Amino acid sequence: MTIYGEYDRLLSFSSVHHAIRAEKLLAEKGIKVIALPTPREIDISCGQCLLLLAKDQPAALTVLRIAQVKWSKLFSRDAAARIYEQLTDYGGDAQLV
Amino acid sequence: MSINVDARGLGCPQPVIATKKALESIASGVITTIVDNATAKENVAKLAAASNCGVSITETNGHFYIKITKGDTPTETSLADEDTSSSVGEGVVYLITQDTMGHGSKELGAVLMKSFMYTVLESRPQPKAIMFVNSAVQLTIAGSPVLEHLKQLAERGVEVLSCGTCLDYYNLKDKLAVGGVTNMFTIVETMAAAPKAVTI
Repeated sequence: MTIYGEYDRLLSFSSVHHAIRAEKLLAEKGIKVIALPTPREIDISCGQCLLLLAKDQPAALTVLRIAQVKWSKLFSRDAAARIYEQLTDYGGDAQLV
Repeated sequence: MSINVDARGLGCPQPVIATKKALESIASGVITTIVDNATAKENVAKLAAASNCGVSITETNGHFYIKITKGDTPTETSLADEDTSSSVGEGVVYLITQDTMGHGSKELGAVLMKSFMYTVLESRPQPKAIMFVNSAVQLTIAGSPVLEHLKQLAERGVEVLSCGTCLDYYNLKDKLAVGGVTNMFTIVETMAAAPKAVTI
């Protein structure tokens, strides 16, 4: 079963505080996000993630960089196959775009 | 065509990605992915099921051999309709008693409630009903942080029911945005008839 299949990026956080702040900031900027628990395919430990659209990735990462919100890893998301492929981690190239 | 993917020793999500690449490389045939932990086994099996392939799993000395048959009609058991990830029982009923989850921080409780509803939406089999009482009725009104999740659950046949007395108390009757209104008789009957009723 596929839910929110159009959301093809997943952003993970090492701290729930940063996840909460990120969700609030992005929503304020009109960037569509869905909060979800970290999928087991990525990590079996507890954690909070955000789904977003690839087209919003540059804007979202810019918002988070300016606000100094620390995220952990960015994944591409194939919702139907439940595949998450890591694109970069915090400090990687993607946060600069 | 037969391909072996030895994914032992690889961390998530590498076994899944390696299997996916192997699946994409053939039109039909058999792929055997070997993994050494239960999480990887489940995730590879889920990938195969989502790809409409036949799956059979054998275990030898703690190593799982996942045989995936692509193309033709799978002759082996497909996991597509099986619930491999969820322990939510068939026909479970949830009674949600507050707008956030757990006691303590309301901010954290709101995060947890969103996570809970997302996970219920993703879980199989789906619950029979989710009923909302007291401040939980704030979850079924316009502007609710879980409204989209609840709408999708309702579309899939899950009964989403809000306590009428509670909507009245909070002056939210005209703001209900998903599901129907219920009363204590229905709440009690629904819980009593459910194979499992869980209060949150």
